This record gives sequence, structure tokens and C-alpha cells, in this order.
Amino acid sequence: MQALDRVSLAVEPGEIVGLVGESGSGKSVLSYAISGLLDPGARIVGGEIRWRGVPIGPIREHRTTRAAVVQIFQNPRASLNPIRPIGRQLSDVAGKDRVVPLLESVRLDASKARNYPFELSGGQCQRVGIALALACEPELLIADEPTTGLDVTTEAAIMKLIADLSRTRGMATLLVTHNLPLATAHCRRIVVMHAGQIVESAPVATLTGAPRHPYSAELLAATPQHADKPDDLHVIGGQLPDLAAPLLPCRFATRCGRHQSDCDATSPPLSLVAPDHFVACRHPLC
Amino acid sequence: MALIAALQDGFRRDPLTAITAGFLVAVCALALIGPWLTVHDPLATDAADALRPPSWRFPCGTDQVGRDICTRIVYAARLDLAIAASAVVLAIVVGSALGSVAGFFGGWIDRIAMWVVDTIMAFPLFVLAMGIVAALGSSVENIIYATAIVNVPFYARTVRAEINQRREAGFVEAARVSGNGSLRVLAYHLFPTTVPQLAVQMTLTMGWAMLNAASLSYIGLGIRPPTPEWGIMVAEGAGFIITGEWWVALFPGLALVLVVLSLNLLGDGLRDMIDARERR
Amino acid sequence: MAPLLATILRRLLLGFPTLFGVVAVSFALTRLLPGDPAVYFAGAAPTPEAIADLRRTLLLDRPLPQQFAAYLGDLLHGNLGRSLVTGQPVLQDLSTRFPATLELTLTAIALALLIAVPLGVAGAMRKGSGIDHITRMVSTTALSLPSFFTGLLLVFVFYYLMGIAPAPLGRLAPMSFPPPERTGFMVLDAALAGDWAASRDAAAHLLLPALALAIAGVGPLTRITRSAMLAVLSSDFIRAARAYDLSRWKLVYAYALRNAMLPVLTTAGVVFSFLISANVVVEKIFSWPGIGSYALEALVASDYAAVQGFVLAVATLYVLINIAIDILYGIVDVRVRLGG
Repeated sequence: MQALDRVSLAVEPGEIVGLVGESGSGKSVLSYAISGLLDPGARIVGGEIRWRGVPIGPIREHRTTRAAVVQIFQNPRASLNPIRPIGRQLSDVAGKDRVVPLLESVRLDASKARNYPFELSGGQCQRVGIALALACEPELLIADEPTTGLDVTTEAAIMKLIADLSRTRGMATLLVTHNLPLATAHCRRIVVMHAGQIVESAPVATLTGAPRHPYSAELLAATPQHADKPDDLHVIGGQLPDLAAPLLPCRFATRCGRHQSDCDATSPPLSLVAPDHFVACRHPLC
Repeated sequence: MALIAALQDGFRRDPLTAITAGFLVAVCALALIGPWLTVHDPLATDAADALRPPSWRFPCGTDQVGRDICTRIVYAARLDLAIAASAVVLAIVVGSALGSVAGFFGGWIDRIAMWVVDTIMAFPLFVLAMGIVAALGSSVENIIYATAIVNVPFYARTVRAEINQRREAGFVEAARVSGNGSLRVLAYHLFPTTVPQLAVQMTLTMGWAMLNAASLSYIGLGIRPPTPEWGIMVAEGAGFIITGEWWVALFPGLALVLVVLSLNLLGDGLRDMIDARERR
Repeated sequence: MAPLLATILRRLLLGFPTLFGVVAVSFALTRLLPGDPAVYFAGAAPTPEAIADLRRTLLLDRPLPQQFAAYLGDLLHGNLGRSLVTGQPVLQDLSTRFPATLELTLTAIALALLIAVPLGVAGAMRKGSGIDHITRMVSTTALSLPSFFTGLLLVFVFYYLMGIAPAPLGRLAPMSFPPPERTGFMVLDAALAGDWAASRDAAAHLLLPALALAIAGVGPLTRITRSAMLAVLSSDFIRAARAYDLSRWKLVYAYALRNAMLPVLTTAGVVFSFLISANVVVEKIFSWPGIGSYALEALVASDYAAVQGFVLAVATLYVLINIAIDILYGIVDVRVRLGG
């Protein structure tokens, strides 16, 4: 099964880019490919991932060039070793001396080092995850749904932490999420994904104000902030296509209101609307 | 006939299982008709031929009283397979009944049934078999009963779990509504669904039952010489190991191990097949 | 400590019905003997007076519930009857011989784990590969080998053919004096007494029977290690740990295997109990003076008190070991211990 199809994405140091799409759109697969965390059987069929110009593979342990990319995960407690105190997990990665400074940089009290993951809240576990990520001195941080499942206050605190760290360390961040408002609030640029295909990439203001791809427009319309009343909530029609079945060149075709017969002939062309804005659609909105 | 098709499909995907199944069929065939194919008499003793190493005339050698070991192995196959099969069938019947009733009716029936099962499982199985045979006397029937009793818990638990899982299912409701009494629903509608799991368990416990019966015979309970049985034959040959006449104990032991190994492999293969089907 | 104590008490209470069932079955076994039980317990060629005496002692002319009550009373006093062969109380015989069996079984479990865990880990790490298939074949074969066959095979290969193992005649070379008994474990006792030659000799005699028993345990242990490792390796925290570039050693052993060990240790406890009964056969082959060979000799001599005493003792031990495993699991699994 080909999860990803002709994906093209570039992240610059110091910027926060949002990768947005529905659950099941392939966002996590892409993020694992970049971090090198795919299962050993995974292969890149075409194209390449490049780190500072050097091609790298989708499995971290096989990479010849070390890419300074780390990831934080959706379920923070499940991403920590359950039977080891977090202080020891930090020292496993960073050495004993850096444990306290790391905890401080994620605004956790040093006394928490003795605790086990199950003794900490979700937000605290995510801070530990960020500390572990920072311990690797990353140049790129991939945050895969980092605040899904956390309450709003904790979410805000975590996102602020990530934004501060990104700014002070010149770290590039890829925020992978299905939550478009979260992405628009924190990212400089947003990439929209659908069923393993990237459909649009634009600066935040442009995407929220004048999206070109029909799917982007639908995503925007579906955010609760757009609706006056609960009954006004917009639902995107149709469902994500089954990736195991034969697919049309444009995987949004079956759900698209602007679908025409020439959409099914070949893959939608990538058109450059502006220097930092491209769209993959044969009949984009204007 | 859907079963045959399913088996064929399964065997095609997993040739090793097909081979072991074939081997076992061959063993059963040998057990049944072997006695007509062998040349020597399993009970005929001839001191002049005692303890001869393997040769063309005696492919597995002879034992201490001159009997041909190969022939005895073939004759023993019948006894060992029959004992194991009877024990397993008995265990299935009793265990399924116990498990079905426990899983279907629940409540205190379930608790008492499980208490019985737990008590049986509380005894190390071989020790329990020893105790039973010691108390009831040393005979083929008692070996079968002891082995059966010791295997009942596995079947009881399997059937209970399967029935419990499906108790509230739609088709059960439908059967009840169409006027079937509880016992009918249990016997004709629910129980057949447990058969695949039972089949898997059966092959695995057959192997264990054979080892159990052979071990009991080895320590002197159960079958008495001169009846050929793999366990006794190994016991008789045990003393000759340290004097170098290895064939007396090795060949019967090997026969036992090969059959049990095939049963275990078959059981594993069946389980993989069934799991794959359920996933599909 | 309080929640731990509560757990222990609760677990003991849960085990009580089973223990009762075990005692009841043992009692039934002593009364199920075809014919007159008194004759069985009176030994060979008993006089009519001896039989009548025994009938009175065993309360055979009283109703069954009363017999059972008396039986329970005896048990609570530690009275398992008297062996006909040794003339000693069965309980005494069993406790004298138990350390030998324990030494053998503990060594066997250690050996089994030493073989099974690396095999299981290798199979899980390279799932589906040639190594994995070999691991599975090894475990299935180990499951198909009866202990008596393994024991004989080992004796044949290592004693008769290669001559590197001592004769299967017990715990020490014949005609040697056993070291003063302190732990009951001969290897340890000899070492404690400073007699290194005897310690080596005891270890040499211990190796083959322990190996024969260990092979019986390798089957289930390899399988559970493999499946537990597979489950852990596909878990989220292992994927996360990969992201932090932990060394392979640390990842596999400190992170993955430690998390997988819990079910492995539980299974080891179960295997331990199962090995106690597999002992019967192995002790016979190697003339090991433990409770297994004791039971066997009793069986052959129709010493029913000894056999039933053995069955009851082993079953009780089994239940207690299972309870201990459950409690230990609760302690070792941090989450349960700290109430998380």
C-alpha cells in the first residue's frame, strides 16, 4: 500500500510549519518517515528525503548521515518507558549532568525526576517528552499531535513552550495536527494534506483568507469558529478513500464540488500561485 | 464441505503444516495396517538374537530377549495412539460439557464448575496422573481416565471462553426466539462455533496425552510388559544405555518424539490458519 | 506497606477454596483404593490384628465426613502418615529429601531461562527471518521431548560416548562423603566448607539432570519471551526511544526486555511448578535422592501413605507457588505497587 504520493515539503530553520489534515491522511506516516521511525520493512518508492541537501532514508538506524531531527508524540505517557523514573530516562539520553537543566528548560520541577510516568499528568509527560527531544540537540522538531487529549490550558502552555524553544534555539518545527485553528494560531506556514497527497502549501494569512484548494476551503469552513450555531457546523462530504483500493490521480476527486472529467485523467499539476504558495489542483478556487 | 475447502486453502498457504498432517496420516495408517506388514512377531523371544545392533534383518536392532524392535514399535503405535485418542476424546466430551454449561448459564453453576477445574489444575498434572493410577490400580483404562481427567481443564476453559463470548450474539437470540429451549440453543447453535478452537486444542493435547501416557508407562504404571508400548520400551532399554546398546531405548523414544512433534506442529499450523481466517 | 499486606491476604483467601479442593481430592485418593484401604496401608503380609488396628486408627468404620475431619486434623498437625519403606513419618522423609529436588529444579529453571530468553529475544528482533524459524522449531521440539528421553539421551551422549559427564549415580561420586549440611544445596555446602573438589564434583553431577529438566522448560519460556518481546517492540514508547538515538543495547535490554520480563517471570513460576512434577522421571534416571524418586520407590513398593503424602505435598506447594507468583507480580510491577 502506498501511503504517501508525491509529497513535497520544505522546512527552514527557525520556522514553525503546520502539516494539517484529517485523521488517516498520512500525516503521521510522513512525520515518521522524516524522523526515521518507520518500521524496518518500509521503503521509499520514489523521490527522496533530503537533510541539508543530503538524501536520507526512512529508517533512522540505517542512515549514514545523522539527521538532527526528533519527534514528540500524540500520547505522551505511552511514549515514555513505564517502568523507569523520568530522571533516569533523561540521563539515558543526555547524561546525568544535564537532567536538571533540561527539566528546568521545560519548566518542570527538578523533584519530578524521581517520578514514574504514571505518576505525572499528561501535560507533564509531554514536557518530559520535549525535554528528551531537546536533549538530542535537534535542528528539526516534529510535533505529532502534541496536545491532542490535553485540556485547553495545558495545550496553550505546551504550545507556548514549543514556540519559545523554537525561537530561542533557532529550531525548525513541524507541527502535525488535524486541528486547523491550532495550526493557524502558531504556525507561519501551513501545508494541507489529504489521503497521502499534499494539496496546498501557503502562509497562514493567505490560507485562512484566500485558500486555493477546495479541500483547504472545506477544512476552514468545518472549523467550529466559523459556525454561529452548532447546527451551522459544516461537514466535509464523503470519506477518505481506501488507500488499499485502486485510486484516482487526484484523491480528493470523489469528494470535490469542483470535480470535472479532466481531473481523472492525470495527476493534478502543481501550480505556483506566489513564491511561497503552491496548489495541486486542476480547477483551484480563485 | 466448506471445512474441506478451508483446510485445502490453509494447506496450500502453509506447506509445512500440510507435510506434518500427511506424516500423521501415514503414522495412523501404519498403526492400523502395520501389523500385517511386519515380518517378525513382536512377542517372540529368541535368546540367540538378543541385543543385536541395527541391521538389514532387524532395522532397529533387537532387545534383551531377542525381539525385533522395529516390529514392536509398529505394534506399539496402535496402543499409544489409541490411548492418547481415547483420553483426548473423553476429555473433550467431559470438558466441553462442563465448559458449555458454565459459560452459558453463568452464576453459581459457573463458579462451581470453575472450582472443579481449578482444583484439577492445582495439581501438577503428572503427579495427579500418578496419584490416580496409584489409587485406582495400574491398567490401560486407568491411564486413559487419568490422562483424560488431567486434560479436562483445557477444554473446559476453552469452550467456556468461546461460549461466554458469543452468549449475547444475534444468532443466539434468533435461535431462542424461534422457540428453541436453552439446552437446544447451547447444543445446536452455540457449541458448533467452538469447534475450530477445539480442533487446535485437540492436536496440542493429543501430543501431551501421548507424552503423559508414555511417561506413566516409563515409571511402571499402566501397560505391563511384554505388551509393546513406546514408554515401556524406553524403560526397558534405559539400563542398556550405559553399556552401549543404544538402539533399545533410542528408536522407540524417537518414534514417540516424532509423532508428538508432528502433533505439535500440526496444532501450531492449525492455530495460525484459524487466526488468519478470523482476521480475514 | 498496608496495601501490600492487603494484597497478600486477599490472594491467600482467594487461594483457599482451591487448597481445600486439593485436600479433598487427596483424601478421596486415599479412600478410592479398590478394596479395603487398611490393607493397603498396612503393608506386605499384614496380620489380621494389624489390619483391624489400622481400621480403627483410620476411622474406616466411621462415616466419611468424620474421616475427613480426622484427616484434616492430621494434616494440620503435619501428620501425613508413616512410610512403610522407611518407617519414618512421611513429612519427615519429604522434608529431608526436598532440598535435593529444590537444588535440581532451581538450577534447571536458571538454565532454561539462560537458553530461552536469548532465543526468544533473537526471534522477536528478527521476526519472520531464518533465526526466528529456528527459534520456533527449537521451542516446539523442546515441547515434544519427554524428560525421560532427554535424560537418557544426555547420559548416552555425554557419559557413554564422550565420557565427560560423571556416571548418573546421584549427587556425588560414589564412596565420597557429603559435606556438612547447611543449605541442603550440595554445591553450596561444599563450597561453604571450603571443599572445592567436592563442590566441583557436585556441580558436575548436577549439570546433566538439570539440563534434562531445563529442556522441558525451554519450550514455553522461549515462546512467552518471543511473544512478550514482540508486544513490547511494537509499543509507542519503543518507537519514541528510537527517536532519541538510544544505543541498541540499551534499547533492547534496558527498555524492551525489562518490560517484557514480567510475563516471562510469571511463566517461569508456572514452569517451576511443572518441573517439580517432571522431577519424578529425571530423578529416577540419575538416581537423584529427591522427593520424586522417593515417590517412585513408594509407588513400586505399594507404600500408599508415602505416595499420597507426596501428591498432597506437591499440590500444596504448587498452589502456594502460584499465590507467591501473583503477589510477586504485584510487587514487581511498579504501577501496581504504587497504586497507579
